[in-house]
Amino acid sequence: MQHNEAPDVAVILEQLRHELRAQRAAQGEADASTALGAIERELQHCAEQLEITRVVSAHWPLEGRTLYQRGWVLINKVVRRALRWYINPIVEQQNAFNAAAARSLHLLIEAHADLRDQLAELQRRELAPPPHAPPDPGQARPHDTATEQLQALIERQGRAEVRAALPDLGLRPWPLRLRELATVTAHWPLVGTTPLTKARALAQRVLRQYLRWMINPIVEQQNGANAAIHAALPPLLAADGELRARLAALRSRR
Amino acid sequence: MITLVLPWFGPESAGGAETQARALAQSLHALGVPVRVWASTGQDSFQPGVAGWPYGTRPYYPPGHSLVDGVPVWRFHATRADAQGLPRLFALRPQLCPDLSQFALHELRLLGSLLGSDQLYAAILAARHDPDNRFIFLPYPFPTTFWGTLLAPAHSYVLACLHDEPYARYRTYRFMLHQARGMLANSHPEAALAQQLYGLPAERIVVTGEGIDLHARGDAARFRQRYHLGDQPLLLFAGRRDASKNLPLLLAYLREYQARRGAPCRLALMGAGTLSMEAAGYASALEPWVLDLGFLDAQTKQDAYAAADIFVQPSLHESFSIVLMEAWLQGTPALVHADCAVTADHAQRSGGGLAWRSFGEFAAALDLLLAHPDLRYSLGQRGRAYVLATCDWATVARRTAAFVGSCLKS
Repeated sequence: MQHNEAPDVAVILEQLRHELRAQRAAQGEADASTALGAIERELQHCAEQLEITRVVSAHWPLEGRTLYQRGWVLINKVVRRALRWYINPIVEQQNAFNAAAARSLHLLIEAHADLRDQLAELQRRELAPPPHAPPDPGQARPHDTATEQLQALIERQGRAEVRAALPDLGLRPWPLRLRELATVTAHWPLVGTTPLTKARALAQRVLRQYLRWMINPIVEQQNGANAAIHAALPPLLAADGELRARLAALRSRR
Repeated sequence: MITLVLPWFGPESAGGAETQARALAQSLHALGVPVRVWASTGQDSFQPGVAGWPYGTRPYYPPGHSLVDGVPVWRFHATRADAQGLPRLFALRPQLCPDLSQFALHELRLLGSLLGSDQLYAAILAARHDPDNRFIFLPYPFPTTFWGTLLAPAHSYVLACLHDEPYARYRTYRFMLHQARGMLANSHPEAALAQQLYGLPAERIVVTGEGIDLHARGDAARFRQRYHLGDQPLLLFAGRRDASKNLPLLLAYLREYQARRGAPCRLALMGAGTLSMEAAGYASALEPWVLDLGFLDAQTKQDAYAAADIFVQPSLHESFSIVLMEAWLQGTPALVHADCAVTADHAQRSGGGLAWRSFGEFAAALDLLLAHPDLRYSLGQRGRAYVLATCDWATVARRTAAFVGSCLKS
């Protein structure tokens, strides 16, 4: 720079402003990522708890230390075994719902991570100007328009395209699946085909009729919880869809 | 005499099989082939049933005899099967039944959950020994097809409209198709699927194809003006708004494509159905990119086909795809899903479309076609030539009549 050249003040000021914006953005990103990091850790913890707790069992170990306790354990084991036909199907239905609900939540957590990554990419692009755009792969007109050649071209160029995660697609079938599984029933048909199995079915129906007072309220409460969990999924998907569409619109303008 | 037997038939009956049956009946009649239709008094599968009864059982058309497009039609009251899926006629006459223990209970229950008619079965029973009569039952999943075929196997043909779907693998349908004299397929992949699933010999299947109205003409400028589209590149989806038509996939792919490419095009949707747009993945933020037209009248549909730059068919389950043919007739090139054997086969045979299997290939295909209007024109014209050569109803009717052995009047 020559001594008698006046410094370009406007350029210097613009550089200072750009550096300040970059510092603030970096600080904001650090703050946000601290908050996001806490949310991510909480989500990870929730995902782990889901896996630990989703399987309900009706066959926990029964143990006794004293002779008296062991006597009751034996009785309880016999009773539990005798009631397997009644209790196990109820537990299995609930486990099927729990598995579907857990899967849905895992997919939602993955979808959230994808949204976070998209947002981070957008923010990075705000700070750094985009590199020189690669040549548009569609510009070169293919010499050969035979279908086979065009298909080969599409497959080749398709492999070069960055993979699209699209986790929302994996989520779409789950509201219907959850709805199918949400209602646990304690009253499936009990039938027999031979005199012996018919007699057993009759005895089971009588016993089930007696035990209704105990089992039905438990099942109804669980069905209430299942319905609430199922009902939460569509609005969560809608919210995800809305955010995803807005992010796409922002990305398209960059 | 050819007797078409299907659950619903009439001028106000919606559905692919219903539309196909009506056109086939008209074409056979126009060729001088004796033809009649037997159906229920219900309207179509989109209507509710009588309380506690299957869909479409609520009476709509009057019972008995009528004429539709000059074709005699008999309509029978719908009746319910028992809890095991057995119609009353077969419960009273077990000698007419096959050994039902070979079928899983849920397969029979599926039959019981769909429209059937004891009156219709009785009519088939009465006509089954008529040497001049041939039954064509459609489509394959319905009890009218299953039980009807079992009543008159030597005179029965099944116009299956087969898709690669879970219940196509049921033993009931395998048994039924082996009882029938033959099967009519809408496309070569459908015929190949039937051979693969059921082991049917090739000589018992014929590809009769399907026709469309070859005189339809769309006005692209009128459509673009009506919807204020200008010269914007336009993609078009047409079809029932079901998850099975893969609309959620198309919306997700479009969203990602627009994000990566700077939103160079717009997608128009036409059709109606049960899937809400929200459940399909539509969000209000997509509104600048997605134009939801809903159900359109026949002429506006043709205008839309003509106005579109690219017709997109993401469906995985087609036995023919009328909408694909309609788009090609207007000279519009197509993008189809490579995992749908039927549409991929059409695209390959015609040269009028390209197939994609992943987002990358979808994006590459769009890049290619959006960048080259002359390529779009070439593909569109190839598609149009294919439709004109293969989708003529008179040809379809001749193939059908020849296969089922009827004589054409001179």
